[in-house]
Amino acid sequence: MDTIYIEREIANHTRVEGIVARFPKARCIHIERYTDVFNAPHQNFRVQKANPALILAKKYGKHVLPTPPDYHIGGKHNYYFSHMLNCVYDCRYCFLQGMYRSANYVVFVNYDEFFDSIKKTSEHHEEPSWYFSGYDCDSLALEPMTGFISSCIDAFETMPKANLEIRTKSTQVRSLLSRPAIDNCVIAYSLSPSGIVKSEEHKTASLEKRISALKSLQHHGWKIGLRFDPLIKADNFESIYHDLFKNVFDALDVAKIHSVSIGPFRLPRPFYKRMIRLYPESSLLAQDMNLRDGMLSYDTQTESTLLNYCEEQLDKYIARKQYFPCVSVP
Amino acid sequence: MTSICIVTALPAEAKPLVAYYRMRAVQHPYLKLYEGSECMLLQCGVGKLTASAAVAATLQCYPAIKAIVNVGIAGAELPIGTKVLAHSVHDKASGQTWYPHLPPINQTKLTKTVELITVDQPDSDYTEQCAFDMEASGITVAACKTLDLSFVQFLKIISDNSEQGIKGITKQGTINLIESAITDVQDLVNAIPLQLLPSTSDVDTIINLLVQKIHFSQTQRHTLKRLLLRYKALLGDLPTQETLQQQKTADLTIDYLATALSNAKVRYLA
Ligand code: SF4
Repeated sequence: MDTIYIEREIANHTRVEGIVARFPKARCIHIERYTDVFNAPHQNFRVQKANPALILAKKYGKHVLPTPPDYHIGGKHNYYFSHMLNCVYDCRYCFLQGMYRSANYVVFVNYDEFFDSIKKTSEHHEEPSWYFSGYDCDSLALEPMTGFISSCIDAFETMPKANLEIRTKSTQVRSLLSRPAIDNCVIAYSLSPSGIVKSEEHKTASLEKRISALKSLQHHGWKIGLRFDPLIKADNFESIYHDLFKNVFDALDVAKIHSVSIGPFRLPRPFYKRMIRLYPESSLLAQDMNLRDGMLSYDTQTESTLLNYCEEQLDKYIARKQYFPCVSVP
Repeated sequence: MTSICIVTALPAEAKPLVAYYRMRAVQHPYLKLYEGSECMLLQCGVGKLTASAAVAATLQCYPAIKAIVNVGIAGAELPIGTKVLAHSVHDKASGQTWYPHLPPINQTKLTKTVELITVDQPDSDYTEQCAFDMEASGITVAACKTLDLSFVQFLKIISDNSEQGIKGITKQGTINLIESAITDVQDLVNAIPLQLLPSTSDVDTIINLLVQKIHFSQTQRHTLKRLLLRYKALLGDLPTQETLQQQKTADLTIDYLATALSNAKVRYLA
């Protein structure tokens, strides 16, 4: 990290001091509010992505928000939260490229306020509620620097009625393997065929490494989830997704998988427009798309072909109760 | 045509850079411009309005310019000759602030960064964290009409502080200060990430040639550009000019490209 922007208000926060100490050569720049830098106009997401700065900030306002209606894995009350904005990885289909002007990473250091908010929300419900981490970032990718997920799991240990999903493509699982698994937490991996990982999910761990991390986590007692999302169209779609499912399910204890979901490729139109301007050479974004309800997606026939094929394949491996269709971001 | 334009306010700031980059004066009725093989230089004059107008005019005349590097002297409570990068530019009069996206640390030896405050009159309220100049905010306003803040950078050399005030600045002293920063200017110019900008110049060239033969409305031109970009992304290359001209009308050209794209195959490695 070459440049760290720090909100003056939290400059002396112990977590800020800890993070800054990891980057002794970084330029530290004090700012009033993270939005002054992060939301400023005239930024170039693609250029910043090559050398992102870190912004340490305090989260104000709502720390926990309701998920869109189809974003769930069986729970009735579903929320998401983001201790971080942006991601160290660079997936060409990622909606963050279209949503944010900046590729700089924002880390909110007032973790306890997130946990307090989750606690209050869960107490508000009679039934169990779900909290999804990894909506605006990858939950685990910067864990060695932030330690957020460790603190988060500590907090969820005290909230049995609240369930946590940690969504990731990262194989930084050391902190999870060095503590006992807790029952109200699912570690969910986003998975794509190996060729798509290599071509479109830049800087992410390979499919093999993700499967190996899943195996270790499962072996350690963690509940695991599989998120085949987004489904990407290709002429050899059937063969690459067939191989993906086979490789994943052959490696894992299938009966113990907590949940499996698939999600279609969808992007809000303004995000898509920004993304094709940033990456005009991307073959993934150059494919035929249809506009439906303000969203760019594959045409309905292609989309149902992809979904039907994947559901057929999943039927061979998992029980229906493990399956949750169309958990889609955003 | 070069992609980077160095901007200085004073002739004494421009002189060592013009010499180092072996630039030649460009004939222009109003602008003081120099051109070399690596970059251009605009000597914009003193004050933010003058600077803004000159930068705007230069960017309009030379759309190939993709980055602006402002080099000049500034005041701060730092030793004379200290070289600093601006991590922010603040216009004192309007209160507006911009944050240039700084280059990677390993590409420049400039470790000290400051808030660069653009003032309308020389200011001597020196501090260590801020430097004063009279052009930066004007340059930023004009540059940001066409460029992103990763491509607008400010390198300042401290010329005055509480011990040696503004009256001590001389022409030769300014030349010496800029000369002492030449390698830093060069590093900063090299660190501008032009290579990360997607190039669509081949598509633009093909469109410019095509519209001379076939009439395209503005909307059709827009569609044509998107189709050609998609064509290149999916099929790896652009169709030839001859193939496109054979289509005779704008509608037929668009149909031809759309059909080719719907037949394009995308395969991922197993
Ligand atoms: S891992 Fe997720 S959040 Fe990160 S770039 Fe990829 S899609 Fe976006």
